[in-house]
Amino acid sequence: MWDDNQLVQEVLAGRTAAFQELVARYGPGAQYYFWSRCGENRETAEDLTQEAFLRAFRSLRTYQIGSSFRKWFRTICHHLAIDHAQSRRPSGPPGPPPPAVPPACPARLAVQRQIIEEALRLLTPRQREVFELKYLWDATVEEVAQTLDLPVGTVKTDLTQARRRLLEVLEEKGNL
Amino acid sequence: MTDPACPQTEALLTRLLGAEDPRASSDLTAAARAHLEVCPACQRAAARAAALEERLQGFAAEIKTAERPRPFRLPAPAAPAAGPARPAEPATFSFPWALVWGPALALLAGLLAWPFLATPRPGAAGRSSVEPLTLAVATDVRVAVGAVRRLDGRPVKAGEALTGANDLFQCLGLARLQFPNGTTVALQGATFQAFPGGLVLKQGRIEVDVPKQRTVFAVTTPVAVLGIRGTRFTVQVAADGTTGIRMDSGLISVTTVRNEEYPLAAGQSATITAEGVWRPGVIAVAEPSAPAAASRPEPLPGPSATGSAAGVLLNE
Repeated sequence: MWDDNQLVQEVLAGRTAAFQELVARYGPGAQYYFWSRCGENRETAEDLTQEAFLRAFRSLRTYQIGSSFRKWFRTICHHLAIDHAQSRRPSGPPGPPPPAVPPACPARLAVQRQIIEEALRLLTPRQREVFELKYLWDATVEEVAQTLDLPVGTVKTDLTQARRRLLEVLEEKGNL
Repeated sequence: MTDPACPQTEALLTRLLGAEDPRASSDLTAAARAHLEVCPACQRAAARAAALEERLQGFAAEIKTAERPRPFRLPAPAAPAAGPARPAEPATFSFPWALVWGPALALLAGLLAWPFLATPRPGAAGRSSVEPLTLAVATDVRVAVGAVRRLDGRPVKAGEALTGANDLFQCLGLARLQFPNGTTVALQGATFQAFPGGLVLKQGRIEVDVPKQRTVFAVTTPVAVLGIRGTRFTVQVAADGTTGIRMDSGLISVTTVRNEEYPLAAGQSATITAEGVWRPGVIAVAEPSAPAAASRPEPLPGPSATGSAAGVLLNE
Protein backbone atom coordinates (compact mmCIF):
# COMPACT_ATOMS: atom_id res chain seq x y z
CA MET A 1 0.00 0.00 0.00
CA TRP A 2 1.30 3.43 -0.90
CA ASP A 3 2.02 5.79 1.89
CA ASP A 4 0.51 9.26 2.02
CA ASN A 5 3.58 11.02 0.67
CA GLN A 6 3.70 8.77 -2.38
CA LEU A 7 0.06 9.53 -3.06
CA VAL A 8 0.67 13.26 -2.75
CA GLN A 9 3.56 13.03 -5.17
CA GLU A 10 1.31 11.19 -7.62
CA VAL A 11 -1.28 13.94 -7.40
CA LEU A 12 1.34 16.65 -7.86
CA ALA A 13 2.60 14.80 -10.90
CA GLY A 14 -0.83 15.13 -12.43
CA ARG A 15 -2.21 11.67 -11.60
CA THR A 16 -5.01 13.14 -9.60
CA ALA A 17 -6.86 9.87 -9.15
CA ALA A 18 -4.43 9.21 -6.32
CA PHE A 19 -6.20 11.91 -4.38
CA GLN A 20 -9.25 9.68 -4.17
CA GLU A 21 -7.20 7.24 -2.13
CA LEU A 22 -6.43 10.00 0.34
CA VAL A 23 -10.13 10.83 0.44
CA ALA A 24 -10.96 7.21 1.14
CA ARG A 25 -8.24 7.02 3.77
CA TYR A 26 -9.10 10.13 5.75
CA GLY A 27 -12.65 10.95 4.68
CA PRO A 28 -14.53 8.98 7.35
CA GLY A 29 -12.34 10.31 10.15
CA ALA A 30 -12.71 13.86 8.88
CA GLN A 31 -16.45 13.53 8.48
CA TYR A 32 -16.83 12.18 11.99
CA TYR A 33 -14.58 14.98 13.22
CA PHE A 34 -16.89 17.60 11.70
CA TRP A 35 -20.00 15.74 12.72
CA SER A 36 -18.96 15.66 16.38
CA ARG A 37 -17.75 19.26 16.45
CA CYS A 38 -20.23 21.09 14.25
CA GLY A 39 -23.60 20.40 15.79
CA GLU A 40 -23.81 16.72 14.96
CA ASN A 41 -25.46 17.59 11.67
CA ARG A 42 -24.74 15.10 8.96
CA GLU A 43 -25.25 17.45 6.05
CA THR A 44 -22.97 20.05 7.57
CA ALA A 45 -20.35 17.38 8.21
CA GLU A 46 -20.53 16.21 4.61
CA ASP A 47 -20.22 19.74 3.27
CA LEU A 48 -17.30 20.56 5.53
CA THR A 49 -15.56 17.32 4.60
CA GLN A 50 -15.86 18.20 0.93
CA GLU A 51 -14.59 21.68 1.64
CA ALA A 52 -11.66 20.33 3.63
CA PHE A 53 -10.56 18.06 0.81
CA LEU A 54 -11.02 20.85 -1.69
CA ARG A 55 -8.80 23.10 0.39
CA ALA A 56 -6.25 20.33 0.67
CA PHE A 57 -6.30 19.74 -3.07
CA ARG A 58 -5.95 23.42 -3.85
CA SER A 59 -3.03 23.93 -1.52
CA LEU A 60 -1.29 20.62 -2.06
CA ARG A 61 1.70 22.48 -3.45
CA THR A 62 2.33 23.87 0.02
CA TYR A 63 2.51 20.41 1.59
CA GLN A 64 6.05 19.41 2.43
CA ILE A 65 6.81 15.96 1.13
CA GLY A 66 8.12 13.84 3.96
CA SER A 67 6.00 15.41 6.62
CA SER A 68 2.76 13.96 7.94
CA PHE A 69 -0.19 14.31 5.59
CA ARG A 70 -2.47 13.27 8.43
CA LYS A 71 -1.26 16.15 10.55
CA TRP A 72 -1.41 18.61 7.65
CA PHE A 73 -4.91 17.61 6.65
CA ARG A 74 -6.16 17.55 10.22
CA THR A 75 -4.94 21.12 10.61
CA ILE A 76 -7.07 22.07 7.61
CA CYS A 77 -10.04 20.36 9.24
CA HIS A 78 -9.34 22.11 12.53
CA HIS A 79 -9.24 25.56 10.91
CA LEU A 80 -12.35 24.80 8.92
CA ALA A 81 -14.22 23.78 12.05
CA ILE A 82 -13.16 27.02 13.74
CA ASP A 83 -14.27 29.04 10.71
CA HIS A 84 -17.57 27.24 10.76
CA ALA A 85 -18.08 27.85 14.47
CA GLN A 86 -17.24 31.53 14.11
CA SER A 87 -19.50 32.00 11.16
CA ARG A 88 -22.38 30.51 13.11
CA ARG A 89 -21.76 32.54 16.23
CA PRO A 90 -25.03 34.36 16.97
CA SER A 91 -24.83 38.12 16.88
CA GLY A 92 -28.12 38.74 18.67
CA PRO A 93 -29.51 37.38 21.91
CA PRO A 94 -28.85 33.72 22.54
CA GLY A 95 -31.38 31.33 21.10
CA PRO A 96 -32.92 28.33 22.79
CA PRO A 97 -30.51 25.73 24.12
CA PRO A 98 -29.72 22.85 21.80
CA PRO A 99 -31.84 19.73 22.21
CA ALA A 100 -30.49 17.18 24.61
CA VAL A 101 -30.69 14.53 21.95
CA PRO A 102 -28.67 15.42 18.85
CA PRO A 103 -30.35 15.40 15.46
CA ALA A 104 -30.89 11.97 14.07
CA CYS A 105 -28.09 10.60 11.97
CA PRO A 106 -28.96 7.43 10.10
CA ALA A 107 -25.74 5.76 11.05
CA ARG A 108 -26.29 6.62 14.69
CA LEU A 109 -29.39 4.54 14.86
CA ALA A 110 -27.23 1.67 15.88
CA VAL A 111 -27.59 1.52 19.63
CA GLN A 112 -24.08 0.22 20.07
CA ARG A 113 -22.60 3.23 18.37
CA GLN A 114 -24.78 5.57 20.37
CA ILE A 115 -23.58 4.12 23.65
CA ILE A 116 -19.95 4.65 22.75
CA GLU A 117 -20.63 8.16 21.50
CA GLU A 118 -22.29 9.02 24.78
CA ALA A 119 -19.25 7.68 26.56
CA LEU A 120 -16.95 9.71 24.32
CA ARG A 121 -18.68 12.88 25.43
CA LEU A 122 -17.39 12.22 28.93
CA LEU A 123 -13.79 12.47 27.76
CA THR A 124 -11.76 15.65 27.83
CA PRO A 125 -11.29 17.31 24.42
CA ARG A 126 -7.69 16.13 24.22
CA GLN A 127 -8.54 12.58 25.23
CA ARG A 128 -11.17 12.57 22.54
CA GLU A 129 -8.68 13.88 19.97
CA VAL A 130 -6.31 11.09 20.90
CA PHE A 131 -9.06 8.51 20.73
CA GLU A 132 -10.30 9.64 17.31
CA LEU A 133 -6.83 9.78 15.82
CA LYS A 134 -6.04 6.32 17.14
CA TYR A 135 -9.23 4.61 16.04
CA LEU A 136 -10.70 6.66 13.22
CA TRP A 137 -7.57 8.08 11.58
CA ASP A 138 -5.62 4.83 12.02
CA ALA A 139 -2.70 6.50 13.72
CA THR A 140 -0.21 4.76 15.95
CA VAL A 141 0.54 6.23 19.35
CA GLU A 142 3.66 7.87 17.93
CA GLU A 143 1.72 9.29 14.99
CA VAL A 144 -0.91 10.66 17.35
CA ALA A 145 1.85 12.35 19.32
CA GLN A 146 3.31 13.78 16.12
CA THR A 147 -0.07 15.01 14.91
CA LEU A 148 -0.97 16.71 18.16
CA ASP A 149 2.57 17.90 18.95
CA LEU A 150 2.54 16.05 22.23
CA PRO A 151 5.09 13.78 23.91
CA VAL A 152 4.43 10.09 23.37
CA GLY A 153 4.09 9.61 27.12
CA THR A 154 1.34 12.20 27.30
CA VAL A 155 -0.55 10.50 24.50
CA LYS A 156 -0.23 7.15 26.26
CA THR A 157 -1.58 8.71 29.44
CA ASP A 158 -4.51 10.26 27.57
CA LEU A 159 -5.20 7.01 25.77
CA THR A 160 -5.09 5.08 29.03
CA GLN A 161 -7.50 7.46 30.71
CA ALA A 162 -9.81 7.52 27.71
CA ARG A 163 -9.96 3.74 27.49
CA ARG A 164 -10.41 3.42 31.22
CA ARG A 165 -13.34 5.81 31.14
CA LEU A 166 -14.89 3.97 28.24
CA LEU A 167 -14.34 0.66 30.02
CA GLU A 168 -16.11 1.98 33.11
CA VAL A 169 -19.05 3.35 31.16
CA LEU A 170 -19.51 0.32 28.95
CA GLU A 171 -19.29 -2.08 31.89
CA GLU A 172 -21.69 0.06 33.88
CA LYS A 173 -24.19 -0.11 31.03
CA GLY A 174 -23.60 -3.84 30.69
CA ASN A 175 -22.37 -3.28 27.19
CA LEU A 176 -19.10 -5.11 27.33
CA MET B 1 -12.15 -1.37 38.62
CA THR B 2 -9.36 -3.21 40.40
CA ASP B 3 -9.51 -6.78 41.52
CA PRO B 4 -8.56 -7.02 45.20
CA ALA B 5 -7.39 -10.55 44.69
CA CYS B 6 -4.08 -9.35 43.22
CA PRO B 7 -2.15 -6.14 44.03
CA GLN B 8 -0.64 -6.09 40.53
CA THR B 9 -3.91 -6.08 38.65
CA GLU B 10 -4.35 -2.31 38.59
CA ALA B 11 -0.85 -1.71 37.24
CA LEU B 12 -1.27 -4.38 34.62
CA LEU B 13 -4.61 -2.99 33.48
CA THR B 14 -3.16 0.52 33.23
CA ARG B 15 -0.28 -0.82 31.19
CA LEU B 16 -2.60 -2.63 28.81
CA LEU B 17 -4.97 0.32 28.40
CA GLY B 18 -2.07 2.51 27.33
CA ALA B 19 -0.70 -0.01 24.87
CA GLU B 20 -0.88 0.22 21.10
CA ASP B 21 -3.16 -2.81 21.18
CA PRO B 22 -4.49 -3.89 24.59
CA ARG B 23 -5.23 -7.33 23.19
CA ALA B 24 -1.52 -8.03 22.87
CA SER B 25 0.77 -8.43 25.81
CA SER B 26 3.81 -7.20 23.93
CA ASP B 27 3.93 -3.98 25.94
CA LEU B 28 4.26 -5.91 29.17
CA THR B 29 7.56 -6.76 30.75
CA ALA B 30 8.66 -10.38 30.83
CA ALA B 31 7.92 -10.53 34.53
CA ALA B 32 4.41 -9.16 34.00
CA ARG B 33 3.76 -11.66 31.23
CA ALA B 34 4.92 -14.47 33.48
CA HIS B 35 2.68 -13.22 36.26
CA LEU B 36 -0.25 -12.95 33.88
CA GLU B 37 0.04 -16.61 32.99
CA VAL B 38 -0.56 -17.70 36.54
CA CYS B 39 -2.79 -14.98 38.02
CA PRO B 40 -6.55 -15.40 37.43
CA ALA B 41 -7.32 -11.85 38.63
CA CYS B 42 -4.88 -10.32 36.16
CA GLN B 43 -6.17 -12.60 33.42
CA ARG B 44 -9.64 -11.23 34.05
CA ALA B 45 -8.28 -7.68 33.80
CA ALA B 46 -6.52 -8.52 30.54
CA ALA B 47 -9.73 -10.04 29.21
CA ARG B 48 -11.61 -6.84 30.04
CA ALA B 49 -9.03 -4.74 28.21
CA ALA B 50 -9.18 -7.07 25.23
CA ALA B 51 -12.98 -6.98 25.16
CA LEU B 52 -12.91 -3.19 25.26
CA GLU B 53 -10.47 -3.08 22.37
CA GLU B 54 -12.66 -5.41 20.31
CA ARG B 55 -15.59 -3.18 21.02
CA LEU B 56 -13.73 -0.02 20.04
CA GLN B 57 -12.37 -1.59 16.87
CA GLY B 58 -15.93 -2.54 15.96
CA PHE B 59 -17.04 1.02 16.62
CA ALA B 60 -14.25 2.35 14.39
CA ALA B 61 -15.20 -0.04 11.61
CA GLU B 62 -18.81 1.05 11.88
CA ILE B 63 -17.88 4.73 11.69
CA LYS B 64 -15.65 4.14 8.67
CA THR B 65 -18.55 2.50 6.90
CA ALA B 66 -21.23 4.94 7.94
CA GLU B 67 -19.21 8.13 7.56
CA ARG B 68 -17.85 7.46 4.12
CA PRO B 69 -17.87 10.90 2.51
CA ARG B 70 -19.68 11.78 -0.67
CA PRO B 71 -17.64 11.10 -3.80
CA PHE B 72 -15.15 13.87 -4.10
CA ARG B 73 -15.13 15.42 -7.54
CA LEU B 74 -11.73 16.79 -8.24
CA PRO B 75 -11.24 20.30 -9.51
CA ALA B 76 -9.43 20.69 -12.82
CA PRO B 77 -6.32 18.47 -12.87
CA ALA B 78 -4.02 21.39 -13.53
CA ALA B 79 -4.89 23.09 -10.25
CA PRO B 80 -2.47 21.32 -7.91
CA ALA B 81 0.28 20.67 -10.43
CA ALA B 82 3.76 21.64 -9.39
CA GLY B 83 4.94 24.98 -10.62
CA PRO B 84 4.74 28.61 -9.78
CA ALA B 85 1.80 29.79 -7.78
CA ARG B 86 -1.12 31.07 -9.77
CA PRO B 87 -1.15 34.81 -10.21
CA ALA B 88 -3.97 36.58 -8.53
CA GLU B 89 -6.88 36.56 -10.89
CA PRO B 90 -10.61 36.57 -10.48
CA ALA B 91 -11.36 33.06 -9.43
CA THR B 92 -14.41 31.37 -10.83
CA PHE B 93 -16.48 28.26 -10.33
CA SER B 94 -17.95 25.37 -12.16
CA PHE B 95 -21.02 23.67 -10.79
CA PRO B 96 -21.42 20.07 -11.82
CA TRP B 97 -24.19 19.48 -9.34
CA ALA B 98 -26.26 22.36 -10.58
CA LEU B 99 -25.61 21.54 -14.21
CA VAL B 100 -26.52 17.90 -13.82
CA TRP B 101 -29.45 18.14 -11.46
CA GLY B 102 -30.74 21.48 -12.64
CA PRO B 103 -31.85 20.23 -16.06
CA ALA B 104 -33.18 17.01 -14.55
CA LEU B 105 -35.31 18.88 -12.04
CA ALA B 106 -36.38 21.31 -14.73
CA LEU B 107 -37.47 18.43 -16.96
CA LEU B 108 -39.42 16.93 -14.09
CA ALA B 109 -41.08 20.26 -13.37
CA GLY B 110 -41.93 20.60 -17.04
CA LEU B 111 -43.52 17.16 -17.15
CA LEU B 112 -45.57 17.83 -14.04
CA ALA B 113 -46.71 21.13 -15.48
CA TRP B 114 -47.52 19.75 -18.91
CA PRO B 115 -51.28 19.30 -18.31
CA PHE B 116 -51.56 22.95 -17.35
CA LEU B 117 -49.53 24.12 -20.30
CA ALA B 118 -51.40 21.96 -22.79
CA THR B 119 -54.78 23.27 -21.68
CA PRO B 120 -55.76 26.38 -23.68
CA ARG B 121 -56.77 29.22 -21.43
CA PRO B 122 -58.94 32.15 -22.35
CA GLY B 123 -56.98 35.21 -23.26
CA ALA B 124 -53.70 33.37 -23.29
CA ALA B 125 -52.84 34.47 -26.80
CA GLY B 126 -53.05 38.10 -25.89
CA ARG B 127 -50.96 37.94 -22.77
CA SER B 128 -47.51 39.32 -22.46
CA SER B 129 -44.53 37.06 -22.57
CA VAL B 130 -44.29 37.03 -18.77
CA GLU B 131 -45.20 33.39 -18.09
CA PRO B 132 -44.47 31.27 -15.05
CA LEU B 133 -40.81 30.80 -15.55
CA THR B 134 -40.52 27.43 -13.94
CA LEU B 135 -42.70 26.09 -16.74
CA ALA B 136 -40.41 27.42 -19.40
CA VAL B 137 -37.19 25.83 -20.50
CA ALA B 138 -35.75 25.96 -17.05
CA THR B 139 -32.20 25.21 -18.02
CA ASP B 140 -31.89 28.82 -19.13
CA VAL B 141 -31.42 31.96 -17.17
CA ARG B 142 -34.43 34.12 -17.92
CA VAL B 143 -35.52 37.65 -17.37
CA ALA B 144 -38.48 37.45 -15.00
CA VAL B 145 -39.31 41.11 -14.61
CA GLY B 146 -38.05 44.19 -16.47
CA ALA B 147 -35.61 44.09 -19.33
CA VAL B 148 -31.91 43.90 -19.96
CA ARG B 149 -29.94 44.43 -23.14
CA ARG B 150 -26.83 43.17 -24.78
CA LEU B 151 -23.97 45.59 -25.22
CA ASP B 152 -24.88 45.93 -28.89
CA GLY B 153 -28.23 47.32 -27.80
CA ARG B 154 -30.44 44.30 -28.59
CA PRO B 155 -32.99 43.96 -25.77
CA VAL B 156 -33.87 40.84 -23.83
CA LYS B 157 -37.39 41.22 -22.56
CA ALA B 158 -39.23 39.61 -19.70
CA GLY B 159 -39.71 35.91 -20.29
CA GLU B 160 -36.79 35.61 -22.71
CA ALA B 161 -33.62 33.68 -22.03
CA LEU B 162 -30.17 35.15 -21.69
CA THR B 163 -28.37 33.09 -24.29
CA GLY B 164 -24.62 32.94 -24.46
CA ALA B 165 -22.72 32.55 -21.25
CA ASN B 166 -19.96 34.79 -22.58
CA ASP B 167 -22.32 37.57 -23.55
CA LEU B 168 -22.29 40.67 -21.47
CA PHE B 169 -25.63 42.19 -20.51
CA GLN B 170 -26.68 45.48 -19.02
CA CYS B 171 -29.67 46.32 -16.89
CA LEU B 172 -30.51 49.96 -17.40
CA GLY B 173 -32.97 50.19 -14.55
CA LEU B 174 -34.40 47.43 -12.43
CA ALA B 175 -34.89 43.83 -13.50
CA ARG B 176 -35.04 40.38 -12.01
CA LEU B 177 -33.49 37.19 -13.32
CA GLN B 178 -34.70 33.68 -12.67
CA PHE B 179 -32.13 30.89 -12.61
CA PRO B 180 -32.92 27.24 -13.26
CA ASN B 181 -32.08 26.21 -9.71
CA GLY B 182 -34.68 28.60 -8.29
CA THR B 183 -32.32 31.44 -7.50
CA THR B 184 -33.60 34.92 -8.24
CA VAL B 185 -31.37 37.92 -8.76
CA ALA B 186 -32.67 41.49 -8.68
CA LEU B 187 -30.52 43.82 -10.80
CA GLN B 188 -29.97 47.52 -10.47
CA GLY B 189 -27.78 49.25 -13.03
CA ALA B 190 -25.78 46.07 -13.41
CA THR B 191 -23.39 44.89 -16.11
CA PHE B 192 -23.08 41.13 -15.93
CA GLN B 193 -22.76 37.70 -17.47
CA ALA B 194 -25.14 34.92 -16.46
CA PHE B 195 -24.98 31.17 -16.66
CA PRO B 196 -27.12 28.49 -15.02
CA GLY B 197 -24.87 28.08 -12.00
CA GLY B 198 -24.07 31.69 -11.29
CA LEU B 199 -23.46 35.22 -12.35
CA VAL B 200 -20.41 37.36 -13.06
CA LEU B 201 -21.04 40.89 -11.88
CA LYS B 202 -18.83 43.43 -13.63
CA GLN B 203 -20.43 46.49 -12.13
CA GLY B 204 -23.64 47.55 -10.43
CA ARG B 205 -25.82 46.16 -7.71
CA ILE B 206 -27.64 42.87 -7.30
CA GLU B 207 -29.75 41.24 -4.64
CA VAL B 208 -29.45 37.48 -4.65
CA ASP B 209 -31.95 35.07 -3.15
CA VAL B 210 -30.78 31.48 -3.22
CA PRO B 211 -33.43 28.96 -2.10
CA LYS B 212 -32.69 27.10 1.07
CA GLN B 213 -32.15 23.67 -0.31
CA ARG B 214 -29.24 21.77 -1.74
CA THR B 215 -28.56 24.46 -4.27
CA VAL B 216 -25.25 25.91 -5.27
CA PHE B 217 -24.90 29.32 -6.78
CA ALA B 218 -21.98 31.66 -7.30
CA VAL B 219 -21.46 35.33 -7.87
CA THR B 220 -18.12 36.37 -9.30
CA THR B 221 -16.95 39.97 -9.12
CA PRO B 222 -13.65 41.42 -10.37
CA VAL B 223 -12.06 40.86 -6.99
CA ALA B 224 -13.91 37.95 -5.38
CA VAL B 225 -15.95 34.81 -5.75
CA LEU B 226 -18.96 34.21 -3.50
CA GLY B 227 -20.07 30.63 -2.93
CA ILE B 228 -23.61 30.57 -1.69
CA ARG B 229 -26.18 28.21 -0.27
CA GLY B 230 -29.63 29.07 1.08
CA THR B 231 -28.87 32.74 1.31
CA ARG B 232 -30.14 36.23 0.70
CA PHE B 233 -27.65 39.03 0.25
CA THR B 234 -26.72 42.13 -1.73
CA VAL B 235 -23.57 42.69 -3.78
CA GLN B 236 -22.44 45.97 -5.23
CA VAL B 237 -19.47 46.45 -7.52
CA ALA B 238 -17.89 49.81 -8.33
CA ALA B 239 -16.18 50.69 -11.60
CA ASP B 240 -12.77 49.84 -10.16
CA GLY B 241 -14.01 46.43 -9.03
CA THR B 242 -14.40 47.30 -5.35
CA THR B 243 -17.05 44.91 -4.07
CA GLY B 244 -19.42 45.43 -1.17
CA ILE B 245 -21.43 42.57 0.29
CA ARG B 246 -24.25 42.74 2.80
CA MET B 247 -25.80 39.55 4.17
CA ASP B 248 -29.49 39.34 4.95
CA SER B 249 -29.63 35.66 5.80
CA GLY B 250 -27.64 32.46 5.45
CA LEU B 251 -23.93 32.06 5.03
CA ILE B 252 -21.55 32.58 2.14
CA SER B 253 -17.91 31.86 1.60
CA VAL B 254 -15.95 34.59 -0.16
CA THR B 255 -12.66 33.87 -1.92
CA THR B 256 -10.79 37.01 -2.84
CA VAL B 257 -8.36 37.43 -5.73
CA ARG B 258 -5.65 37.00 -3.13
CA ASN B 259 -6.97 33.48 -2.70
CA GLU B 260 -8.06 34.22 0.86
CA GLU B 261 -11.33 32.78 2.06
CA TYR B 262 -13.71 34.49 4.45
CA PRO B 263 -17.09 33.37 5.75
CA LEU B 264 -19.82 35.96 5.90
CA ALA B 265 -22.93 35.26 7.96
CA ALA B 266 -26.35 36.86 8.30
CA GLY B 267 -26.20 40.46 9.44
CA GLN B 268 -22.55 40.89 8.47
CA SER B 269 -21.14 43.01 5.70
CA ALA B 270 -17.75 43.53 4.11
CA THR B 271 -15.93 45.30 1.34
CA ILE B 272 -13.21 43.87 -0.87
CA THR B 273 -11.10 46.66 -2.27
CA ALA B 274 -9.91 46.84 -5.86
CA GLU B 275 -6.63 45.36 -4.61
CA GLY B 276 -8.47 42.41 -3.10
CA VAL B 277 -8.10 43.52 0.52
CA TRP B 278 -10.87 42.29 2.81
CA ARG B 279 -12.47 44.89 5.10
CA PRO B 280 -15.16 43.46 7.34
CA GLY B 281 -18.13 45.45 8.46
CA VAL B 282 -17.69 48.21 5.90
CA ILE B 283 -19.69 48.97 2.80
CA ALA B 284 -17.60 51.42 0.85
CA VAL B 285 -19.07 51.15 -2.62
CA ALA B 286 -20.78 54.03 -4.38
CA GLU B 287 -24.41 53.57 -5.38
CA PRO B 288 -24.78 52.52 -9.00
CA SER B 289 -25.75 55.34 -11.29
CA ALA B 290 -25.18 54.58 -14.93
CA PRO B 291 -24.41 51.21 -16.45
CA ALA B 292 -20.87 50.29 -17.31
CA ALA B 293 -19.08 51.98 -20.17
CA ALA B 294 -20.34 51.15 -23.60
CA SER B 295 -17.06 49.71 -24.71
CA ARG B 296 -17.13 45.98 -24.31
CA PRO B 297 -14.74 44.75 -21.66
CA GLU B 298 -12.58 41.75 -22.28
CA PRO B 299 -14.85 38.69 -22.11
CA LEU B 300 -14.54 36.52 -19.06
CA PRO B 301 -14.30 32.77 -19.47
CA GLY B 302 -17.56 30.94 -19.72
CA PRO B 303 -18.81 28.34 -17.27
CA SER B 304 -16.87 25.52 -18.85
CA ALA B 305 -13.61 27.40 -18.55
CA THR B 306 -14.33 28.86 -15.16
CA GLY B 307 -13.96 25.54 -13.42
CA SER B 308 -10.32 25.23 -14.30
CA ALA B 309 -9.35 28.45 -12.65
CA ALA B 310 -10.37 27.80 -9.10
CA GLY B 311 -12.10 24.50 -9.09
CA VAL B 312 -15.34 23.53 -7.50
CA LEU B 313 -16.19 25.02 -4.18
CA LEU B 314 -18.94 22.66 -3.19
CA ASN B 315 -19.27 19.35 -4.84
CA GLU B 316 -21.84 16.67 -4.78
